[in-house]
Amino acid sequence: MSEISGVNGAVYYNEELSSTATANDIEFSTGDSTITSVLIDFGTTGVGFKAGMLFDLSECGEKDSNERIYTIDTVLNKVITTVEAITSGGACTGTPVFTEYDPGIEICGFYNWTINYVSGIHDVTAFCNSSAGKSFIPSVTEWSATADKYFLTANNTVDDWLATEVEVRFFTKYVASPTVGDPAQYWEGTMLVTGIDETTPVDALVTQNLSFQGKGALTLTTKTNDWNTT
Amino acid sequence: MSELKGLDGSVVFANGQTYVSNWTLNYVAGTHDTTNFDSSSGGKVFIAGVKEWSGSYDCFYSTGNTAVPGDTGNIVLKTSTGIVGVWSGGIIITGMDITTPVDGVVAQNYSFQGTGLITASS
Repeated sequence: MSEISGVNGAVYYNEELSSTATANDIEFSTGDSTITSVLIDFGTTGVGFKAGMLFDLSECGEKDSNERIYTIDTVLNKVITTVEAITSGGACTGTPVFTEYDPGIEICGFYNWTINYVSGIHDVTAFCNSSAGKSFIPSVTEWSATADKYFLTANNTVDDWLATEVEVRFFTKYVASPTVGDPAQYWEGTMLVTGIDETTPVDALVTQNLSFQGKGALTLTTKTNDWNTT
Repeated sequence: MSELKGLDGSVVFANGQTYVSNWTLNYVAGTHDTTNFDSSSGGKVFIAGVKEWSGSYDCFYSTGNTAVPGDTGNIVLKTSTGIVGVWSGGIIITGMDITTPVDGVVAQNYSFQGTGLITASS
């Protein structure tokens, strides 16, 4: 345990993409580690999978040995090539479910983020205890966040976020291969994007400052094993 | 009697006391304005009301700092390693800000509301 530099911070977006195939739609190939669909477009014009994302594959029927978390090497229309090997080739009679897995995909351009996590309090000061000073009890907790990024001329995903609900992971430290001795750690929760301020100064970079209102629980996750394992 | 450097200060609070670099106590007394026609020529007049205290402290981020808003417990704020300049009492954690700048250290700053009596050794 030691202080950590913000240089390894990151902002990831988990779009919670998911798709369910029909029986006999999916063909597994062990040689080139591909998953091919007849009907599903896995790419950006369909499900929305991108290279670098992880997805959890389940409900594979007799091909259940293929059920695991995969890293997408490439995705081209109806064909996904995975980094991890596929163990059982051939057609799948099951109805495989493809679900985007944590942490999602990194959103580039961010250089600072802040979470503001607060608890309400109730004043319970009464005549019988007021001589010691005011007394309080805790109330409902609430959280919000802000994040600052440079505007990017391409793949500026956040442009579409205003007034939508997003699943963002704020990393205090991202580690590509987490271990017990060198874990990755992030805060996650569902949040509403309540503001995007865009600033264009004549003498500096164009920036975007995002405001989020948290919904429900704010959770801290410490990841101590590879991202493609639970 | 002499000035005191902050170097030996500390904060003791379960699950929220690692890498503390600064603390602030805000101890106030409410006042009631008792100015009336008979006394106003001398300026406003007040009497003391209920006391209240709150504060904040700044940490570098640590996995050991697992305290979150809504947590309660006893806090000890020390100005030095000695037995003087020590403040303690029950608190509610009311805020936690985590900041991750690309060009700085990850920071974790807590705010708290004191509840009931604060004791001082000074």
